Amino acid sequence: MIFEDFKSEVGEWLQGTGPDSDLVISSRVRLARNLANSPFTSVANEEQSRKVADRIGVALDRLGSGLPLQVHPLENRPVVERQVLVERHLVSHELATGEGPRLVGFDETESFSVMGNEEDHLRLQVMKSGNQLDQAWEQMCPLERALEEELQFAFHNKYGYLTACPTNVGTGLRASVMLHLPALVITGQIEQVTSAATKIHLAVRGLFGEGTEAQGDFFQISNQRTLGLTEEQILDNIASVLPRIIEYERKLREELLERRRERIEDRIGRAYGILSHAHVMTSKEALEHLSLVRLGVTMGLLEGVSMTQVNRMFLHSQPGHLQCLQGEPLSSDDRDRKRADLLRGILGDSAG
Amino acid sequence: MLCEKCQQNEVTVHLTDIVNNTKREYHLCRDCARSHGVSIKATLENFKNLTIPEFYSPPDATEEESTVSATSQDCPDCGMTYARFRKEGKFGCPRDYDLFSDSLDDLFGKIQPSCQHKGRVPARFHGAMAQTLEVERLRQEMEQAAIDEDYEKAAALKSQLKSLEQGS
Repeated sequence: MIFEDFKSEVGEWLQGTGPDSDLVISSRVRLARNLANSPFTSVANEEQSRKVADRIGVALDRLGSGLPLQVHPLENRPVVERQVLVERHLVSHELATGEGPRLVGFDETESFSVMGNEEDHLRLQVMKSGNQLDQAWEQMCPLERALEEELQFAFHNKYGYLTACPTNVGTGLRASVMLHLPALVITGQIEQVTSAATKIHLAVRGLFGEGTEAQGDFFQISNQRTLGLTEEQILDNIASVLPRIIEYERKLREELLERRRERIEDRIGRAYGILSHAHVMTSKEALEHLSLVRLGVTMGLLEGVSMTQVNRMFLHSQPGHLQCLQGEPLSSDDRDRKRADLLRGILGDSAG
Repeated sequence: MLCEKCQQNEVTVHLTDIVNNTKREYHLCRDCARSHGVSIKATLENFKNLTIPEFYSPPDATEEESTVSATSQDCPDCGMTYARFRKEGKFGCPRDYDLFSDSLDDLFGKIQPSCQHKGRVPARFHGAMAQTLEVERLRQEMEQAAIDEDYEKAAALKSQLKSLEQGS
């Protein structure tokens, strides 16, 4: 294993298993919590942040007796390793690039992760592959309770759990599903999904959540409202719209096969051809082709490729992973060459 | 793609605006976005931290902000001022929520369905929270009774509320 911190090539959320995994990549719940009587991260001084990080570290150690966790301080980690953690969705971009004492903890399946001294003192996350939002929440509840016993969280009778940003206050819950919706994009229907979701106060975003554009037909749908609703209502709201999106995408995939089979097979075949034969490839281009190859695999149009290969290509072709696999920092041009090598290599495994 | 406003420069800002459940997208160039009150740098750095109303509030303090910042004190714990909170969109510490509470209902009301937390409660708050929710329930019932002009019921609820709030 090249990444010694990680037990498997890809984390639990990218295993490609779970219900509806043909188009629901993963489900995620995240809770924001702050320690009572401590200033939030953005205004805390070095000493205060150190204290918060230490207290969280101790609490995670105790938690670790039931659930073995790796806990790492982030401040002295090389940039590339922090990038790898972002790509594996274990830490946010903000935590990876921030300043001061910060830490990350995660279990060996990479299903549960904790960020210390992010925008909030604590960000707890459970990610699962496929359509498993409720299961993710069930897994989260005891972990949050266990941490609450160790740490007093800032709480207000009216406003609920207090967070640095008003968009998280109350439950502190952000629930999201990452969807692969190529047929909706190809047929130009994605706009309908986006507007239906925003009508019920859900946000539609790109691959890496907040502030990112959709790439390669991957979309993240999450709740915007956090206060004045129970956690179950927030989850139900997403669950209420999800089956309709899934059904819509599947119906369009079937129609594509019926009416435009040649065209769609051609696009998928070309994407596969480029991934398996190109010598220079940007990450944006790789994602676009991977999206089509993934579609081909789920529709049974690319028999020689497995979902495991697709998911490995998806993760390992990203800049941090690529550089970690090479064992050295690479220039952008070098990355594009090494990325193409990696993709050819992974697809070559199946051809050979 | 050309800016939909000036039709001259390349689009660099894609803005999605949702008002009264109606979505509208703007595709603007850097200059037009700025004249629209959207600064690119601030957008890139702070986009995820901004609520939609904040995103649209002009960079200079509005009347509401200046009156509030004049009356509400700076936080003795973290030094946060209301003006800075509105500008940066982030609280400095838990105490700010109480200090700025007069203005928070309006602000939260724009994005949240209600300003009363209904989710999980830490074990140490279970008793207090049950009372808060009961007070809130009675208060709503009292308001409804007043609207229905059932003043007898409203008065009864009012005295019930009073005794509950006095902790009896």
